[in-house]
Amino acid sequence: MDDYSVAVDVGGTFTDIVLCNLTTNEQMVHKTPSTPDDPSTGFLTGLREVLSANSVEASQVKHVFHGTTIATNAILENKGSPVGLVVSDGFKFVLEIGRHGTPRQVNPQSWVKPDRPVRPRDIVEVPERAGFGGEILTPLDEQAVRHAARKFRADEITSIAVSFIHSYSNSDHENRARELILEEYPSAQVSLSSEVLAVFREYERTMTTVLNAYVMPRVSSYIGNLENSLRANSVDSSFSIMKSNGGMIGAEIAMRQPVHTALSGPAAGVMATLQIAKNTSVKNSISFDMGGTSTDVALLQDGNPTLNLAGRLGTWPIQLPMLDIATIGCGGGSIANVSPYGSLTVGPASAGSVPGPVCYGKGGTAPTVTDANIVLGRINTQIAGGSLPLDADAATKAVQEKIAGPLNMDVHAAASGILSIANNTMVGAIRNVSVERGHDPREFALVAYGGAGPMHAIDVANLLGINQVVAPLHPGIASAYGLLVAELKNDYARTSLQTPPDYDPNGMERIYSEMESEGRAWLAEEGVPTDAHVFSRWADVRYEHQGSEVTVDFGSKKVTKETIDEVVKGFHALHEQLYGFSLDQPVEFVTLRMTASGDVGSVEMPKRPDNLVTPEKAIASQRPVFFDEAGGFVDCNIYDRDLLAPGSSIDGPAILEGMDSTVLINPGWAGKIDEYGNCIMRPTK
Amino acid sequence: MTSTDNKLVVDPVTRQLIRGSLRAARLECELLIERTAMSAFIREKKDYQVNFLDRNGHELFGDAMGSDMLGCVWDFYPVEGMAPGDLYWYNDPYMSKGSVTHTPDMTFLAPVFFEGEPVAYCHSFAHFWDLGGSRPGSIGPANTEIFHDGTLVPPIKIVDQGKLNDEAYRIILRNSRYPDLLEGDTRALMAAAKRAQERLLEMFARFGKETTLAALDADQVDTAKMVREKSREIIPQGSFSVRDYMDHAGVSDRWYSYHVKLTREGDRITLDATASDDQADGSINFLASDGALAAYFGQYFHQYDTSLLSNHGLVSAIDDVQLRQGSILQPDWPAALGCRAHTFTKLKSSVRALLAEATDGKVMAGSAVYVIAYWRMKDSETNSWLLCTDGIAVGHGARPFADGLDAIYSRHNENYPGEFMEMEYPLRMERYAISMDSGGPGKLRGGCGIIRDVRILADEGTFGLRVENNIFPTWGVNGGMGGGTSRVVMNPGTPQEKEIRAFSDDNIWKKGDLVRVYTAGGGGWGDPFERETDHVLNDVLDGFVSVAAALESYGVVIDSNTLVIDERATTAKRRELGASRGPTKLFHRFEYFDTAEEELEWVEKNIPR
Repeated sequence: MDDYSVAVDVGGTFTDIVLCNLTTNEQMVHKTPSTPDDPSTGFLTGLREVLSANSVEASQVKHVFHGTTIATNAILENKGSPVGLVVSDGFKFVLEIGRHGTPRQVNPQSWVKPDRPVRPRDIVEVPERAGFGGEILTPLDEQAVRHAARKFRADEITSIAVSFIHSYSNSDHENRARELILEEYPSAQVSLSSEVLAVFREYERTMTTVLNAYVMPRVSSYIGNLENSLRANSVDSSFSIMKSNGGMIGAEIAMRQPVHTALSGPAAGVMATLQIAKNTSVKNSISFDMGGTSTDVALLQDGNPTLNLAGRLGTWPIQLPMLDIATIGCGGGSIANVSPYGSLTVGPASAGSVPGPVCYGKGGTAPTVTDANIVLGRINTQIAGGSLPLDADAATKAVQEKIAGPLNMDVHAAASGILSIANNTMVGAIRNVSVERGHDPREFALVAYGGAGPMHAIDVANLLGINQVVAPLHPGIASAYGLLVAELKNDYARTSLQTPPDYDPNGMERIYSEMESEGRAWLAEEGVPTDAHVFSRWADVRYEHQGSEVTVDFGSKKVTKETIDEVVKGFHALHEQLYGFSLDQPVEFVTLRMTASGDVGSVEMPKRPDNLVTPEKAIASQRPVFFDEAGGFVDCNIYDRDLLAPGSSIDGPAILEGMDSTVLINPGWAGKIDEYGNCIMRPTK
Repeated sequence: MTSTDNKLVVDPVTRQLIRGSLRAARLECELLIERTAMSAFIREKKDYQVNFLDRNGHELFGDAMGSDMLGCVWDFYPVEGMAPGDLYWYNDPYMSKGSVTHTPDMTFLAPVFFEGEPVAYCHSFAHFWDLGGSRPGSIGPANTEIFHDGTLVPPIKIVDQGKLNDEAYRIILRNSRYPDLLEGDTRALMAAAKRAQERLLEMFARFGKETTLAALDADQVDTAKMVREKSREIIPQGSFSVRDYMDHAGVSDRWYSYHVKLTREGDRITLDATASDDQADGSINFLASDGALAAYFGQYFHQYDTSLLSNHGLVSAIDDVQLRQGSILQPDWPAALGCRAHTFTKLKSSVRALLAEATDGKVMAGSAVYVIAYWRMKDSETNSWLLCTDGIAVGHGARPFADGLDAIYSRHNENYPGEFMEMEYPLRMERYAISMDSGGPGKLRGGCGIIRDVRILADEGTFGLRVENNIFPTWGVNGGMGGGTSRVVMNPGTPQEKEIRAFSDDNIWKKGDLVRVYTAGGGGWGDPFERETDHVLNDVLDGFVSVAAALESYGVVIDSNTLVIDERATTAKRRELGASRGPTKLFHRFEYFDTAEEELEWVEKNIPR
């Protein structure tokens, strides 16, 4: 009997599942409706369905990989659990004051401060203090900690965060506080800032720690229940969760550090991009995941995604290493609007899935990006395999009345304009992750997925001068694929200011070694054999007096005066590349970082079967489609994507329709199907 | 020829794409500054901007200060002589006629050449750390002449067709106490101006010259139309006037005030500030540029359609502004200007006060002036001075729809994390808290200020303080009351406790001394006796309002042990307090008052100059 892996990605509407035979690498795709009230129901239903449809026994499943939005949604929708916070004396209002600014884009006269995940009344100050070098200035007042624990117990607050000033350089007080809290309150769940995020800046570290505590009860009960249910269903596999850095972690650590899963869903898509890029021999790529309400883009250089160390989720900073994914509030459901003084805007307001775009006929009246696509013939009104037809007339009427009429434009020009503006917004997001990081997008391929990605990708590529677009076989379930191909990965960091000429190579080496031991213990716990452990060292470096650091690769080098010199030289070059200048000034090391990774059971993407057909035989229908560059409607062949054999070449304008999305090949472009079923599109000139 | 002559009409989609290009370019260039600048004032506090100007120097997109950033450059370098790759530099407030308002705001300006002619300009500016002058940090409360405020840079061509003018650069760097920071910051700003220029060129190439120019002109026309229509919709016929008061100018004890009168006659709206006081002997003078006051009004009306660009069109709300030479809003050379923010921050609140009169109080109450402390420490080994310029938050005015913002500096500017300060300077931050009861009472509460405790670990040092609202608090509106005042104390709770003048410099501190700054709160909105009792209770539970203030200011009776409201006692208390207070008036500060004249009379009697 063959062994299997299962990947389960829970999205807002559907739960996507890929079942993979580990012997033959055959992969079966399955979709089941999500169950937002308790996502584990959809998870387990889908799992049972896919196993029975393929006659696989539960006991044959060796690995279960999971991408979850439990933490993401709890944070974005302010639906976490009550949290108690213990801080150093004098810093009760650290969250309330934050960095004492408004967001950059808002009008301070109308902006209202969002409620913090913890109210000041649930924050307790305790006498204790360390200096920035870790020296203890005030010993921990143990009675005060016990008192706080008893207060939280009386208030029935079960999740407790501890964040002391400078704890990144000495975690003794936080560790002791946890012991004391658990003595007084054994059932409490405790998050320590020195464990969640051992780097300086008290507001960001405290908020990240509080968010960890905020989602911990939900995430840990969700994962715990899932694990129990798997066992009850005779699935005796490993169980791993995708974290925001693109690596997998075991269920156990995900329950302890749930805030690491804040970008679990989008990260999985980026990992799929990594694999697609590898299969198509693309060195540099940009992932373009366009869904209903938002679009995620990320850059992969030399096959590796970049990390962001100063990320946010919604309003709050989460300064853990997360894939550098730029999210913009523009997707298929984004609403087009004419402002009182006549500007045409698209998004960020979204029709969501309820009521949804006008063409869904579920009560939506505001024209959206999807409606514009319908008006222009880009989407089939009978979605393949779809249950309900889309109402093109209603979409046209809405675009006419709400946009074209007020602006005195032709309805098709207005619809095309809506798409142009949406695409321009995407371009802005892609510039964010490329140009602003010193990369020229023209040297990258665009890997398009999500429900709407492959429909907009060539327009976006044209605007950026990108000359290669890849649409995977199943753009709608790319994230589930990403789960199958990712490896185990965890990040460690310690702030340790190193100023020239007094760099301390021995001290730095000691910190790296400590982090390496932690990583080694974790990989062993996850069952990775010692010879498969991989460690890489990084450092956040800046010119003395700068406030932002640049993360440079320390490789696996031992820290010596010489390797420090090499890294400093690399920093000057990187600064020049990123910002257009470098300086002859002293360079500081601020935070040392280490990544531990190891592979367990990740798989390759499968190749297409032999029995597929040439393009002529895959034409399903024809219809007129509007292209701005063609000056209007052009008759297009509509191909059934599932039938197209590897090697098929299709000139634009053309449309490929598949089970879960539409690929648009614009005039002047041609697509070619590769052995994995990816459609690789390039300009014909 | 401008495009209004050739009447090229650009379609709404292209218009929106061009706006999007400007927004994206600005964001990118500002991030570049933030990531590369060296002085903490720019990178942590984020005091920087990138703006775009049209061929005439009118703002295309930016913070719309209503200033002419280009005129003073043209005075020295006529447009015919400009070339691609040029970069101009200045900070001279008087030569730029108030377009730069104080010396630290270094401005870099680059022409954008497309098809052989300048089609636009980009400018980057940021508040620099130190340019020489009287004390580390250059500007400060004790300065009386612009020469004390640091090096004046008249418009110079710092980069000539790509070649750096090294001689001039070295002179300017030589005049700073921290030349490394100055070099790092200037390089960041120059890189941002260059990148902005590249992005604008791409925009012109993508949409074509005539189309782009026509769209950019049309954006100014639209914004102008919007603020004109909205202002005329909101402001009725008649005259309204406000006066606000600066605690003092730093060097003498007297207070100063300005007076602004707004008049609507038919379709015409004018401002007259000629009845303002004579210029101050200290550094609070605000050299208002031609468009500044009009732009403050425009900024208010911009909220009615934020999809339109914030650009030169905003000044169109006002037809004429009258200022008096030699007054606090138009000082004679060479008055010091360093702390002009005290004056213009209050002026921005005063715009709302004028609109409060026009709308029966349906606007946000007064906000406190943001605070800056100059912590200076002497390094006894090298005998050099370390400087930490520390921006500190205040409370903001309550709005008809929401409480005022607690602990916000002014906008997107950010504070220094305590962990950062301690890592970089011989300082320890021991407390950073909400200042209880500092928010003005109201149906909607004014925002609270903060408390910041800073201890010096170096052997010795000095400190300067720019703390306003120490004597004159913020005003409340529509029955809301004025906010709490600011205060500075050294070594509180010890035998050495000493009150420090809030707006002062050259205060001496020695190793172990602790300075506590209490910042002021914003004004309240609406009658405090109408505030929901559970909102008052929440404020008490979370430490924004004390049990005593809940009783006295809000009439809410809360048991100090159980922290439970006594609803019956509250009803009675509110009735009793309301009866003894009598009806409220439009404004409140010290007392309720309806007009500026009424308040002036009270102030003259109770707070002699």
